Formats: sequence, C-alpha cells, structure tokens
Amino acid sequence: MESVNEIIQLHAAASMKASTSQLTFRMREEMQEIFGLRRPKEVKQAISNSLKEAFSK
Amino acid sequence: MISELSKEQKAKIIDHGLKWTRIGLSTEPVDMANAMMAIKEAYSCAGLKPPKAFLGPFNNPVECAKAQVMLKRMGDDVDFAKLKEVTIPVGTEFTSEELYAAIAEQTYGFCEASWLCLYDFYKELEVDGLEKIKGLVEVAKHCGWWVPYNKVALVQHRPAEIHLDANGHLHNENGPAIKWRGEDRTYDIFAIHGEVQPPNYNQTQSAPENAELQA
Repeated sequence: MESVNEIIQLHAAASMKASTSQLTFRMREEMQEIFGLRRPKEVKQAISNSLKEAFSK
Repeated sequence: MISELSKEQKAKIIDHGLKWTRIGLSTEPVDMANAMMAIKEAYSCAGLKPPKAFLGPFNNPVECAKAQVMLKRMGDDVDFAKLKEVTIPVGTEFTSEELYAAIAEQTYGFCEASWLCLYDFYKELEVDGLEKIKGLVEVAKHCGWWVPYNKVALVQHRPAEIHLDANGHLHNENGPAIKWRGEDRTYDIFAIHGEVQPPNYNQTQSAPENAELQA
C-alpha cells in the first residue's frame, strides 16, 4: 500500500505556477497576510501537535 | 505581473475569507458521495487513476491510522475493487511507530482551508495554473483528513465539535475544544484560550471537588 505523493505535491505545483510567475513579491506577501486564516490553522496545528505528542515518542 | 487589487477584487476579500473560515471550522459529518467525487478529481488533477476503493468514514485520525496499518499488514494480496471495510480483530495491537507513520501519510482535507483560501482567491485575480488544486479545493469542502493511497483512499469525518473563545482561539472550560465523532474520547483535544491542555484536562480540574464531595 503506497502513499500517493503526487497528491501531496499538488500544493507545491500550484503554488509555484500561480505565485512566482504572475504576482509581485509584495502582492504575494499581502495575500498571504490577508488569507492566512488563523482559526483553521490553529485547529490543524492543535490536531497535528496532539497526535505527535501521543505517538512520536 | 499583478501588483494591485482592483476595487471589485478588494470587495470580495471579506466574504471569501469568511467562506473559507467556515470550511476550515466545519463540524458537519462527512459527505461521502461528494467527498469521493472530489477525491477522484484530486487524483485526476495529479494525473492518477482513481482509487479502486474508498474506506470510511473514520471518526478520527487514529481510528483511520489503525485501518491504514491493517491494510499494510494485509499486503497487496487483496481484491481492492471489492474491499468495503477493514476489520480490526479485538486484541489487535498497534505500536506507536506504526500509528505515527500512518498518521504522517494523512492529508488534511478541511484543515487545508488556510492555504486553499489563498489560491482559491487567486482565481479572482485570473491567475493561471490553478487547475491542479481544483480537486483539493473540493475535498476540503466535503471531508476531514484523508489518506491517498495508490489503490484505496481512506476518508475521515471532521470533528463533531470545535469550540473557540471570543478571540477565535481554541477554548472550552467544560469539555474538549475539539471533540471527535464516535464513542472513543481518548483523542479529544482540550484547550484554554488557545493553549492545548493535557488529555482529559477538564476532568482532571474537577477531580479534587469530586473527591471532596465524596469525603
């Protein structure tokens, strides 16, 4: 049973294609600032950290 | 090269952010039919054939990880097209290493809202090259964490409850801040104003009072 790395790499592929070629650096920074949704990010981090705490010993 | 937002584009920022915040904080049960369609689209975007089977929905990442470990133990000698569920016999043991390795293979579904929100907004800017994440955008709308394997995809529910304080930090003084579906409370997450607490935090806090009442 193998993990499908191509799915995980979709983020990087879209990020590179969309950002570097079409938006200025300042625009990318501004957009990331606006849309770095803190609350969903905090939920993801809390879940990830609790699983790491439970199993990565 | 895009260097500035138009007035119309700026006007859409708030609604767009709210829409994706709702997705990222959703506690709706998984919508299996739409989740499967979205996952197939993600495979297609990655240039892959769709999985032969979908398993789930699982109640939390650990329940899913146990099924992943069982799948690996079964090996490739399985008719995946006919696979409907993974049976875990009572008494089956899992090591922390096995479960952690399985969790590391999980991808984040609705929890990818913060970066998908940004790229979804790029569509408003008519940025090219976003076709590849179309499937992931749809997956985020319909399910919790999930696992993309070459022959099978495993799908999880979102949490049953997510509690925040007025500042939007994870918080619940009377129970878990993140409560999973199902009966197993082992992996619920307790937090006070964004600070994650030890497992069963609330019960620990109320123990002395209970002891006093019993005395």
